[in-house]
Amino acid sequence: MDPIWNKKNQLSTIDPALRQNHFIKIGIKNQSKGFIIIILLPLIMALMAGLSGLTLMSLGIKNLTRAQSICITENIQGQKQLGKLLSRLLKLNQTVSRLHHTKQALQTALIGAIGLGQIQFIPTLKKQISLVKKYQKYLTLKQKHILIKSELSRKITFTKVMTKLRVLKIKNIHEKKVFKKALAVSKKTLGPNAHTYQLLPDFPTQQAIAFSWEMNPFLQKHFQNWFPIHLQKISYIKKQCATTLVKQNGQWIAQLTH
Amino acid sequence: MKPNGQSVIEVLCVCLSLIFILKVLFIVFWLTAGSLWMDHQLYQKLICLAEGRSQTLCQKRLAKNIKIFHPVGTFIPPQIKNRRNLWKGKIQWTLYGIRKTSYQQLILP
Repeated sequence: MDPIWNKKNQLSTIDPALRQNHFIKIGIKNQSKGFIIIILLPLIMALMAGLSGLTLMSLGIKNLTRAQSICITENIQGQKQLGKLLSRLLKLNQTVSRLHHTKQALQTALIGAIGLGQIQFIPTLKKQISLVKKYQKYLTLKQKHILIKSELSRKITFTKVMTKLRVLKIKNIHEKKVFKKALAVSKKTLGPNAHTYQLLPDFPTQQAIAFSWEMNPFLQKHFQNWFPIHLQKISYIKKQCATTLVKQNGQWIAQLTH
Repeated sequence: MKPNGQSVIEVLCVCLSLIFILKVLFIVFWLTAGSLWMDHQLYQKLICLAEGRSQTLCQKRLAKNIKIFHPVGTFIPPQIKNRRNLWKGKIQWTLYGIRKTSYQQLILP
């Protein structure tokens, strides 16, 4: 009889037949463990693959939506600002026309007064013409100020969109506009220092500002190294958002367009 | 016959249960992915409508983009509530006999 350690760690002697049976049982136990691991392995792998796929998909969708949302929000805010400036610019037209007509009438009266020899009216008329001219200059400056402010507002919007989209690893961000200037208006000259501004024909199309960009929705800081370079180029998606101004109930409203 | 201590029936049972579990896992993942995709596509449709495009065109685009998740049994087109700054939509769809509803809303500033 060979010595063997029993459950209480005591050296004991057992029958060889019993000892063989004991080792067979241990072997079956180990085989079962191995079998379970073989079964669990594909399950765990499938679970991991599914979870990774879902995480990547939800991340991609989230990034796409976030980029679109940033573009829409900033672009609409920018157009709203332009809408306010456009209202102010168009409001000045009436005053500019009225002043121009007043000046013309005063000038006719002055010529008449000179022609008729009514000298007593000449200084008053000249003074009034000078006042009108000063006011016209002031209005021209105001119009210029509005136009400069609108260009600045457009640039601020572009910078905001660029800054916010770049955080999402977005490249090739461009601004597209049919009409080059911020406000799609044309200048009509009535006389010296007397300009009115009219909306261009097909104003909503001319006023539309679009931002386009290219992004890989899955390419984020943490996942950037996972993608091979050639796959990174293929998986870029082109997106864009566009807004314009539309007049509703006497107010300029920014809305999405295509 | 006892190959490695297991009978053929036992191995078969284990394999079948494994296939069953994998199938259930696949359905769960497919449903979750489908749900995410439907939400996203509905949001895209709301943007499409807010851009002033026609309902027919937006509907066509949506139908084309959700084709990947066929078989979609019953599909109710989105009901759009259009206010000036708020766009709401709903899609009901059935996948593997499970009915799901996707809601989305687009609020413009």
